Amino acid sequence: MSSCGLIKNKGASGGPSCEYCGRCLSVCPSYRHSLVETMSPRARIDLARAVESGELAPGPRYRQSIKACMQCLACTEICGKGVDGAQIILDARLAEGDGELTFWRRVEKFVTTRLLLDRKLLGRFLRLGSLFQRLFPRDKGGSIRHLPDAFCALSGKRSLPDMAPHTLFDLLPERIMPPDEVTQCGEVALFTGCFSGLVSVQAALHLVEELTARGYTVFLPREQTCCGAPAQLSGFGEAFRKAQARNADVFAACGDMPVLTLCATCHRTLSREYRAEGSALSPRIVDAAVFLREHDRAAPSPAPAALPAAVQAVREGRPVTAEDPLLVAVHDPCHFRLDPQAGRALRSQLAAKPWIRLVELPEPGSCCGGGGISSLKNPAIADKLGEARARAAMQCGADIVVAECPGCVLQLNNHLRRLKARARACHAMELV
Amino acid sequence: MALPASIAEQLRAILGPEGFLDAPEDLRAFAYDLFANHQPDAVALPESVEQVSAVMRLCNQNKIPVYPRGSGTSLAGSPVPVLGGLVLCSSRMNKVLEVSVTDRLARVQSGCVTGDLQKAAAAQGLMYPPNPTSMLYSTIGGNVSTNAGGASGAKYGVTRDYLLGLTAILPNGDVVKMGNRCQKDVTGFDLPRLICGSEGLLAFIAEVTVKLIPLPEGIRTALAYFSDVTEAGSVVTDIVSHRILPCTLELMDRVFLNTVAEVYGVPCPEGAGAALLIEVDGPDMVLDGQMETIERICREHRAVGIQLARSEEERDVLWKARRGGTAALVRKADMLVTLDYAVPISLLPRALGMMEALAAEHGCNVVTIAHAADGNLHPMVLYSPSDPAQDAAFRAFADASARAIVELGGTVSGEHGIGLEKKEYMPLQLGDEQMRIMRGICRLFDPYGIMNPGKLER
Repeated sequence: MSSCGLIKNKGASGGPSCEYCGRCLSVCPSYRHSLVETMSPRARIDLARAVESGELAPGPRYRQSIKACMQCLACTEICGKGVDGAQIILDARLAEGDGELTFWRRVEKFVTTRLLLDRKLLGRFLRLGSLFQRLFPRDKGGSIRHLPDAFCALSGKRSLPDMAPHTLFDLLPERIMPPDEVTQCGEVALFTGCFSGLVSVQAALHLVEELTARGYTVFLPREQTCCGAPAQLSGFGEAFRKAQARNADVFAACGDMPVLTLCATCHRTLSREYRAEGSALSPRIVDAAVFLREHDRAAPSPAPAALPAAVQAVREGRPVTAEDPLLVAVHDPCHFRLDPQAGRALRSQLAAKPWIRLVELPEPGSCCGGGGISSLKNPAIADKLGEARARAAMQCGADIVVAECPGCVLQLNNHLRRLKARARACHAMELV
Repeated sequence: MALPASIAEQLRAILGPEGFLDAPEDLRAFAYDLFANHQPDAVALPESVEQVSAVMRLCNQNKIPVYPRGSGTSLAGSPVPVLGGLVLCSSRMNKVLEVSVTDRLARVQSGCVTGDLQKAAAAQGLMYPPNPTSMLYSTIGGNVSTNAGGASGAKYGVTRDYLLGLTAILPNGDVVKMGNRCQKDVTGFDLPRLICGSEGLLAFIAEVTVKLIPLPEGIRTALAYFSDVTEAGSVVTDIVSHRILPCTLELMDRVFLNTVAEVYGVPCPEGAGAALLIEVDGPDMVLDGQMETIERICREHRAVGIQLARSEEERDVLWKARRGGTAALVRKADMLVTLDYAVPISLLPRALGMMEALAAEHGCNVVTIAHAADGNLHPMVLYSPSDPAQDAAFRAFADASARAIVELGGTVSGEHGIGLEKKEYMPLQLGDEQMRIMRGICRLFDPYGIMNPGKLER
């Protein structure tokens, strides 16, 4: 009989040790999908520690387990002992590096380490895409285009985002002043993220309008690049550090003004991952909804003259009023899980509007599978999660689901459309 | 050691490629629970009764050890495959098969998470009361195997009290349906309740039928602070003597309260050395009267502070101390081992005093909480296993406390089970005759001793 060991402290590389209690199994989307312990946070932490200490040689099953993590942070949030499972798993991915460079891994590497970090190249690619997408019908909500079924199967049943013909940087100058009649009260810089800066610019335009109306001058540094999250989440540490260094330099030129984000994944990366690397940019990062709440208008804003396309589609011409308000549900992106004030701030902003009535989604905090690059790395899990979240939106009777994450919005719209739901999703900043 | 290739091949044929795992990563992942760690030779993840039956038959023919496992949340090493062999995990058999309002029962597969069963019952206005702390991630099969309890045990009982029937797969592959859907049944021996608490030594549990009760109409919550645990223990006996049966009566000691105050900033009144979280549930019309009596009893015992919850939000705040406390303690130590004893309710104050004395004698950092209304106490030992002196002190305390509890007329496990942790103390409590009968029962079900070997000495 071989010896049976008592569970010992596994926190070899610092940080609290996992007690193997299994609490994380109750919240992990990939475990709940597979129902196999090897795909649970508890096992991933154990495997990562074993690989780190040289006790285990990483094999294909290890890579499969590490890759299947959605990086939703649910395990980190629920752990009583404070074990940061998501970070341990992310570190394990980074330690793996390129891994086996199959064709798709090469594509992933090119997109996350080259294309996303080269704004000029990405801009050209997106403009081409915006021309090509005209071949496909536009969704009534306006944020996604339908791919023919054959393409859908190839793309994991996902639809294309509706790519704007112009980037935010084409539409706005580097420095946007408040209107003449508004007294200037401060300056902020805007980190747009790839999606809100280049693909779908409405949310960022609304945010800039809202900030300038409150008296803020908004800086939109031209040289900013991707936050590096796609590279980091794919295990390409060098490209992530390159993105970090670039953004740190670019925003250092804006003095010490707050840097606003409007994407949960960008926010997590800039505030949490950059901080881990010692970046001076991290303490300046503020979520847009939190900033707007802290610098609120004196009076509640009236219903906007031009409603977002998703709202227009849902209301079918009916105006939004206090008597006939828009039913809005907030979907909390996973990457705000450790910053719950973002969701609270957004709700308080929306609740203050007389033409909006908030409804709560069932199963608050559930992952939709669309944040970060989860839906690309784990399409089967993401598909299941997206459908469940879309059904939750239908169940609560919302007209519109808002999220401060373009990935979540895309995912929710994709599934709402597939379920033939009346409701649509849009970026939270389009309503704030 | 790997299984013979021909056996592995046959298992793969029975279970399909996704149901049979033998990669080193999978073997590591199915090696542990909260107490111990040893790798199996392979893992089976069946999806049907037929697959389980075929796997058991094959293992029995080839005398391969079989270790039934649910979520692996045992605190005592019960599912750990100490002799290698095959882990037979129920996680993919996780369906709620039926909730019947008329028959007041639910039928579930054994890998169903207990919290999912409770949710399905609640959707029909019914309740499955056993609520182990792990209910959101432990399986009903695991709960039946260990006869799991929880904080509401005194009022609502434990898993065994709700068990109407189960489908057991014997080591030879026979599928035996035990019990039935009747709320009353005295025909023959109560085999489902024999299987309950047998910790995988007799059979694999594939399906479970449990009794449900109506959801209570209301609940009232109070948090009362006292000078020490002995005083708080006396309050427990006094409340029970007044014919009041709280659904929650959680006792927390001074270190526990101080840790909560330190980590979460939840203040406790000056002079507080223990606290009781008290809840009564039932028809609204009786609850206020019961809570008034409880408040009076607390004041008679010189409570240094009493807080009452008037809303669900206030109830959450009062629970924060109890829920957050264990987490706060876990953060303070390299290792936290939760021991599990139960004593007659009248002896609880003595048992609590004994734990304090033994902790001092062995120089151990021990925090005690208790599901006080059923006399179930959990001394939690905080220590560093890598420090030989602390490790020795822990072992000495665990040994002395188990022996002292038996001496007092208590039991070495109230709800966690025996597993590896308590196996040497079971004969001490049960004696030779009971051990002989248990071994005989094991042989009847499992002549070759393939079920969870290495736990009960056969």
